Amino acid sequence: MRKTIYISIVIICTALTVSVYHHWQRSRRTRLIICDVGQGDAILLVSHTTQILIDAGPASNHVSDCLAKQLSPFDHNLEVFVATHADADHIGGAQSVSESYTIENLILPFGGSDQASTAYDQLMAVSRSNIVNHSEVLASNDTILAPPFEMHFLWPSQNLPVGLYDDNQRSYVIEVQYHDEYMLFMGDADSTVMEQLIRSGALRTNYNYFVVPHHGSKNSASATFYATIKPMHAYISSGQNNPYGHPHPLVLQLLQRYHVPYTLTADVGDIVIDLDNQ
Amino acid sequence: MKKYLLIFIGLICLVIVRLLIFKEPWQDGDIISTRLLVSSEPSRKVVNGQTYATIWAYQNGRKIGLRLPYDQVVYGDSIQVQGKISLLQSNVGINHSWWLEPDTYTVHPSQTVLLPVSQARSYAIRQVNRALNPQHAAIVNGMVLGSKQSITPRLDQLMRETGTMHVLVASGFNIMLIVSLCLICLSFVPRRWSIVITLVIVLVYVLFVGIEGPIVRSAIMAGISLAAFLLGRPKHVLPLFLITILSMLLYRPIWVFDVGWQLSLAATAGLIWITPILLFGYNKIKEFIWQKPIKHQHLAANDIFESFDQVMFSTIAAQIAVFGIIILNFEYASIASILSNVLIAWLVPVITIVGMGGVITMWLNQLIGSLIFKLLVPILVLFTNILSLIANQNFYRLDLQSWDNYQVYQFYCLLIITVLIGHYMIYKDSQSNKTI
Repeated sequence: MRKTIYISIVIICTALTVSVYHHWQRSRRTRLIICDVGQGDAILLVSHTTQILIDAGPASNHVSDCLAKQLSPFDHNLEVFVATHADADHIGGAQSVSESYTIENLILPFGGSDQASTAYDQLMAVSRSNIVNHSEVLASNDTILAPPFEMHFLWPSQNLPVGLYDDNQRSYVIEVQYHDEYMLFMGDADSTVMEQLIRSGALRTNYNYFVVPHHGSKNSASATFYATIKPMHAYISSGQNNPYGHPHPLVLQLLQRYHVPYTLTADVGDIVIDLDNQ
Repeated sequence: MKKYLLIFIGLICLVIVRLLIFKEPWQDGDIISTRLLVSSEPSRKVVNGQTYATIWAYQNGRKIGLRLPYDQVVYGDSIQVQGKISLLQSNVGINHSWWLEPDTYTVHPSQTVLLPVSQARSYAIRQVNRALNPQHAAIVNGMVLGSKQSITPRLDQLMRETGTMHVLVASGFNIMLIVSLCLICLSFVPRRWSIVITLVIVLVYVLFVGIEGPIVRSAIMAGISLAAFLLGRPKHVLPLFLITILSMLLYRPIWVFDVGWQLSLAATAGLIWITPILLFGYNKIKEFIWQKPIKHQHLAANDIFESFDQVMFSTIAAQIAVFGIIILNFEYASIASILSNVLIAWLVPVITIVGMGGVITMWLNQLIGSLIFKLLVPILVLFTNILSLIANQNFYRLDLQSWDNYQVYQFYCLLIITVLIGHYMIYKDSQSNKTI
């Protein structure tokens, strides 16, 4: 009996050590994670104790699973949380995020929301709660430093006429730099925004990682844009059998035409890219 | 024993009368106006991007479900509602509950003892959420507070795939734990008083986690056991078990058709009567292999958590007992569920005990409470890793759609006969040991 107890204790301790070591090892790596939140967007950037969340997906709470799986169980602090715009499939999960994580900097959607929505009201309630240390609205030319990441906001410009651009068109376009690697996240921006960005010269001519805007909607199918940014990898966050038909075949054709390999969260679940291993 | 027999016969008669006078008060499609008490935590569901609370309430023994916006209703509220009511049919074709589509409703915050209880419960859930990551918090909230509101979609899927959803409820184990802790802590108080205080604490805990089948059954069982102890009577598992079932059926006959209630009942019966047979067989095999007599373990139901063997066999026993009900209602059985239940069985008490300690400490000092929860993290990591590992394997899933009700009844008849033979063999074996 005593022998059985000793063997059990050894097995338990080994299992515990392996589990914790596995988590610890993973949390040490610098990673870009495109969370599988169904039909919506949630992107995580993690490096040691720096944890950045861009959008929180829909209200279905899928983002909590991604955070639980990808972040250290001992670190409940998000250095930056950007709500790119007011659509429910981007900010619906904000409340569930706020239940478990404190937010150092909350970046609220530019120009608020076009119409009253529960998701937006909940986000504003979160911004007023004591779990958020600081909240603000940013615009192009603003930069957030969250070492080792640099987040450059490329869109919308400070003087953008809010009434002429809808929620999607006011999405933040964010370029994130990690050493010599560049990533581009565009929320639900469409081809109008893409054209203006090209004209402004704010975009680089090459991006390592690119999350296709608006889940691959045909509104974001701009050949000139893909020819300009020449992404090395593209990622599409869309739900399986979603009613909108995302990603649109036109977008997939464009990616193929420009030889951009792409991955869908609907096919593989959470996409985890180890930025130190590239 | 004669007194027990009289109580049984009396209760059986009362249940039969209750079932005979049990008639549905509404017709399918009626428009009704009623007031419902939210007597357990509403479950959270997202429909078309909107978050709703699914509420199950009881009225005159009938189970009524309805859906309202999530942030408008909490445990303890009462709802004045008018709407169309329709009959729900279960997988086995028995009408046992109603669904209400509300046209108009007013939510009245609780004015009773449930208000402070509900507030205390919300506070505890919030604190657990802040101390642990979303999946870990959902596990602790489920096991300690019986709350499923913070369960995440992937954890939900994981637990369903591995057949372990039943561990995310406050159950008989929690009651057993509270009773033991109270009796130990109150050992300096006269026995009569310590038992009364314990009963009050059990009642408060039942209100705290929500008035649901498994916890109410366990509380009644604990209550009867403690009352028997108070009166200086010996404890009989079988009579207590039957009295519990009959008392509950007398209170809500509709529970006969409730799958959750059937599962918890079958699992408890499995723990009490199948575990000793499995342990007996296991010891006999060991004797046969090593060719020397093994010291027989004490096989009382109270001692099932004493050793790893007992934990393992009690888990398997519960799985065997619920097998038929699962086939009848879900039409499949998975080998993964037996494996996962055996592997996590020893983690559940640890998480429940430490989690309960953390929740109590949170009231006294948040920092210390939070530290206690941090101690749980490695165990919770291991818990989720075990389940993920099993879920990722393509275990053979027995498709038993062809089984009909008749075959399930045959399964249970066979099981009862096996259990009787098993217990007879244990009895004979103990007699022969005495003779030696």
